[in-house]
Amino acid sequence: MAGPGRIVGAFTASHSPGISGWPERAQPQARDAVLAGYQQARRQLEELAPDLVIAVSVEHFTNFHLGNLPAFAIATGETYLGPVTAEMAAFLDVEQHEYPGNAAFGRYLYEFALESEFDPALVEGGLDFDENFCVPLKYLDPEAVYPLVPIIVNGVNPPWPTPKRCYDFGRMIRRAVESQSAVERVAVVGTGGLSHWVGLPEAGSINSDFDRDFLARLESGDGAKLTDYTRAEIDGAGNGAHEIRTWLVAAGAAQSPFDVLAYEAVPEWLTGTAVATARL
Amino acid sequence: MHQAAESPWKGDCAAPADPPRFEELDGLGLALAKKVKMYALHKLLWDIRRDRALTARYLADPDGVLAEYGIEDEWHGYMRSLDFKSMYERGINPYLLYFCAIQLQVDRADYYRQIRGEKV
Repeated sequence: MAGPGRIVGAFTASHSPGISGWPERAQPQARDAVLAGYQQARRQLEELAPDLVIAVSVEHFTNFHLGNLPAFAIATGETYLGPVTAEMAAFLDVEQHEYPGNAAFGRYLYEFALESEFDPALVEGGLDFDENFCVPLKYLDPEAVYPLVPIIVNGVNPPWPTPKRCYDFGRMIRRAVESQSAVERVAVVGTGGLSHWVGLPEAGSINSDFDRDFLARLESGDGAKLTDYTRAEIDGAGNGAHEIRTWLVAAGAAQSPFDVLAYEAVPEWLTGTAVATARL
Repeated sequence: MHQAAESPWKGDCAAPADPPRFEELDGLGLALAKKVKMYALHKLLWDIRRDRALTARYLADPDGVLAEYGIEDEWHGYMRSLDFKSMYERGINPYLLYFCAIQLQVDRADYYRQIRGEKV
């Protein structure tokens, strides 16, 4: 009989399409630093040998739209297609393939969430991936070996769930993992951010002050500081900065300070680009 | 007459820390939505992102597709001239505008020049 489940690792990273799609346009030093951060995270993940990866991201209107836009969704599919189209596969330079899912754990987590008085949407199938998962997983799990439970947080259309709610959603995930013993070793990966503007006049700007302050809060391990943001403060780092909610979920699950493996302001990728790992 | 029972609900529902102000809801598009069928436009942008056949049909016959979606008046004009800047300024989601522009074969740099007001 396996022991109780535990969160063995938590990783957070940006998912800008430029990282995989046009790495050559970035300054070599910045590109190498980001890719080295990703490689370090990949090695750590490999050493942790997780039985399951809970993958938390936004999705960019690939599946959801304004006729049905959940604040949180938990997917319980057996497999996930990504990138969603051949066209996007070429754009991201990620080969289109099926990612394995752990449907049973997804279902368990969904029920655990409801019993914990969270109200995520249920997505039993048909959830396709865009850059949200395809870009980070190209580096963290290139062979697509880890079974996934994808979680989607709305980061693309206001109003968004509060930072505290996102952090608490992560704490709930941790409790769910520790309340069962069928799946022993669980890693959490949160992807998105940091500062960037999508479809807006400021696109290409980076708010390094915001990014560095956010990373300092993440390194402090202080959940109160990490969630102390108003909507306007996050808006100051761009509509894409609202994706830091996925990092808050991961931090809530980790309950530990993080180490920043890389941070670079990369205007060619239109994004303040970072990789971090929980100090577990 | 029986007395109203005390509410059995004892939950601690937190007051919102950063509550929306109803007077400012134009920013969320709710007041606009009544006038301009904003949802219909958002749906069209999303469908264009997802549906290659619709994209082709839109490129061939924009008026026909706009009529199907009930998009009229100034919004018809904005879509007809691919005036993304005006739509963004009136509350349309910039992700959807940007993705739609790409599907409609608008060059990325041109999109950003337009949204910055550098190009009419």
